Amino acid sequence: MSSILRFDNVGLRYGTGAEVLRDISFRLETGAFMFLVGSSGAGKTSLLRLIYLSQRPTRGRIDMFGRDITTLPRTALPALRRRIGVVLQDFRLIEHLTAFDNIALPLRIAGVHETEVRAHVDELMEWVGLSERRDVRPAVLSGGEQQRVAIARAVIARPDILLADEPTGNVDPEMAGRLLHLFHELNRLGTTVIVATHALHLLPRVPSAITLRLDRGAMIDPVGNLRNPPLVAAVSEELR
Amino acid sequence: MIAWLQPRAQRYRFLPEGRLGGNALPWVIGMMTFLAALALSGGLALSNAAGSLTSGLSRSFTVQIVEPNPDIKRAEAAAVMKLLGERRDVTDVHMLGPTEMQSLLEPWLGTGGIGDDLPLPVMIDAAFVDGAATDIETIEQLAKSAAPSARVDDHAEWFAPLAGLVGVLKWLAIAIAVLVAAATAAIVALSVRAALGTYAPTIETLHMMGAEDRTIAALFQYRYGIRGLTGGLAGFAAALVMIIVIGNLLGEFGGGLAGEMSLGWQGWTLLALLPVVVTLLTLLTARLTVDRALRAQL
Repeated sequence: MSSILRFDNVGLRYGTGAEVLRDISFRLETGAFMFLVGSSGAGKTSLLRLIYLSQRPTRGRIDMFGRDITTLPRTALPALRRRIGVVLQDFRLIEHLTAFDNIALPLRIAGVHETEVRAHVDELMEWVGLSERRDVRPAVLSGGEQQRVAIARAVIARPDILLADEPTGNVDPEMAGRLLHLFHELNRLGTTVIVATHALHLLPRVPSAITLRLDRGAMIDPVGNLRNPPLVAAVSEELR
Repeated sequence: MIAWLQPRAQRYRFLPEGRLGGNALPWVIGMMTFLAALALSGGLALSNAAGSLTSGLSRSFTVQIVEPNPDIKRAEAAAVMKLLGERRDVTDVHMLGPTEMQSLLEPWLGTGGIGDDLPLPVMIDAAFVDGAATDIETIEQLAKSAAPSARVDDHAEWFAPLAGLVGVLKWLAIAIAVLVAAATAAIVALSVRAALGTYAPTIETLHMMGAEDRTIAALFQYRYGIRGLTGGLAGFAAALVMIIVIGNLLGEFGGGLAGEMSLGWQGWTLLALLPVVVTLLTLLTARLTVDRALRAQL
């Protein structure tokens, strides 16, 4: 398998503050499922920001899809971003658009034909149980519904990498199980999935997943499994 | 607006409907267009009037025979008439008769007529032929050699200060139009920046999903272009009414500089292009401002 994502001694600081990420080095194979765990403020969201190209590292190198994204011109970034689906903690739904239009956004940005957009979005809305809420704006949706819209929007374009920041934080256990199942299914279809979560009890549900633990901006990888895999769930074992 | 003209970002409402950067912008653009149209039309009309007067007056001149002895005066006048009449570069040689002299002096002497005992000079009007050099010095030398008491008045010399003033006013009008355009661009840029600030989270989300700068910039360009066109047309319409009213008032003067003021078809064409220029200025400013702001982001 080829490596889809590789971090080499990556550091990140905002402005002149202290480094929020230090010496992050890991390699993720195409089709891997990774949990990103750590306490609040450990740097999970910052790490995700680097991956979804919202931030450049202040040092080190990141390779994604075989390209060094730290030196890529910004004009090359949109094409890479379209290969990444993102679900953030605050959902980032666009308030003036309906649930349908929010989910359709990645396809419309990519210039997909409207007939195809409608078919795909309707199908996915049905799958995540939002068919009845098709024309409702985010302000009217419950927290769980908003989260499902955000997840549907992230996966609608079949991204190569799916990033999720606390995706099960606002849903009941049953829906959390369904969403994780959805991520797992996408992973089986070839999507590389990275899920940042506090919910350690979810980790055993994806037995093949590897786990990257962050602690105060540094990763805990004592034996270097993440830097130089064999990809086994060795690190996650201690958390089970 | 016709759907196919709309960029994708507008068609799918990537940013909310309604007016980016506030509702006042079309009004401001309208007012700026109004001022620019008035300044330009004033400059053009003055320029045309000055051109028209200059072309008439700069070619004409008057020879006066100022001689108290009537016999000598008549002889010198005849010599000058003969001299001018023989020149190929001079035309319309005409000695003013008693009636014309009376109408010339009427503002000072009233309508009572001129007495025979009043010593008046002989006035001979003439003009250089179109295309000929206006060599007034040669005419003066020849006139003086034929009639020692002859004086030559060059009309262009009288008109020169007025032409200078009109030239300054014309450039002032152009400068006002340029300043108004610069102010409009600055206002549009400020409005675009405000809108970018308001919708920063939405734009960030669009970027996150792979939207290109040009997709977002096209939306701003479209929306601001429409606002520029609306404001431009409204300002132009208001200016048109004002220009027609002023034109009618000037027409009542009958003659002189005011009477000669008109825009001509070139002037009207230039004014009619103003809404188009305003629209282009607005949308280009919006585009450049968005491009520049987005380039500063990742």
